[in-house]
Amino acid sequence: MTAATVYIAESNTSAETVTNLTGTVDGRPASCNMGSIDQPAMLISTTTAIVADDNSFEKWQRFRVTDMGTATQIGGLRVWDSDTLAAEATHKTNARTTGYEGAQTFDAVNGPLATDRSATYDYTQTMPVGDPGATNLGIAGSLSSFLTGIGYSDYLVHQIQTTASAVAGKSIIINYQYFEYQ
Amino acid sequence: MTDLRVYSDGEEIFVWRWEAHYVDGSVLKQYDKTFHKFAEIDQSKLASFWMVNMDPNIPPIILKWREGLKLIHFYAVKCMGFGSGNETIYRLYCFGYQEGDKKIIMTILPNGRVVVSNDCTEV
Repeated sequence: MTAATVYIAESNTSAETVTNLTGTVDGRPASCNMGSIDQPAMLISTTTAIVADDNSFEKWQRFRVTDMGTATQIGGLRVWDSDTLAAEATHKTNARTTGYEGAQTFDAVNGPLATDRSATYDYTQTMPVGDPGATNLGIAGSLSSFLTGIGYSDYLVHQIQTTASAVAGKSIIINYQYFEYQ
Repeated sequence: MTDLRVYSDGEEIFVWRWEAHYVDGSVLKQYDKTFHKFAEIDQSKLASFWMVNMDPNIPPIILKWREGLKLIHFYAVKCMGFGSGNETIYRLYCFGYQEGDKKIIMTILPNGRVVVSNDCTEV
């Protein structure tokens, strides 16, 4: 084995079921779809759509390293969007290159919610469009920390927020990057 | 999904591999019969650091060495369009050196082209 094995792992429900978003998840193709239910790899349908003036369920996702391969450190985590959403819809996140508030703690009482808890979990930043050019998701609460063995990054907490005037019909994609230091 | 990484028997393999060429003429290869760690390189004895493609028809990229440099090597893995059903994953091979506060990073792109930058943040 040479390359590190890294997944994006999503946490759902108050019991925190952790799912690696790869291949298929319960028969559904792995995805980062966001909607009105708390489910990994949800399908896009009228039953999972976000109604205007509502929010999506929060996504609580982490980089998960299950094998370091030949790497001595893994870090430099970046996430970004490919584009902006349509008018009156915003993709909010705790990921940021400066003013990072540290690791967020998963809500083991309620799990992810569709309410705006950005003040509590610091997802007050609009997800950058295009590579942020620097680390914007931390490890152990710090943007300059690394994983030196199997484990998780901090949570990437993000949510789509809309107003009553939100316009439907546009999809965007999320991108990520990590460094494997030798 | 488009995965631009290269696999053999289900495991990703590195298409660019380093070689440490020493002043005494000996060579430490990342892969010979066994795998060698980057940390095994004795930088005090380096004459040049090579990145060699598995395809022998592709010429190596050679970094000539001099005293006072600190060798840098890492990979950047990018996933574009994660979970979109049309995602593209690729590995960038990054190497270079640090001299004082200055870094020179060479990044080998999937198409074999090399981009030279001053900082990891530009990768």
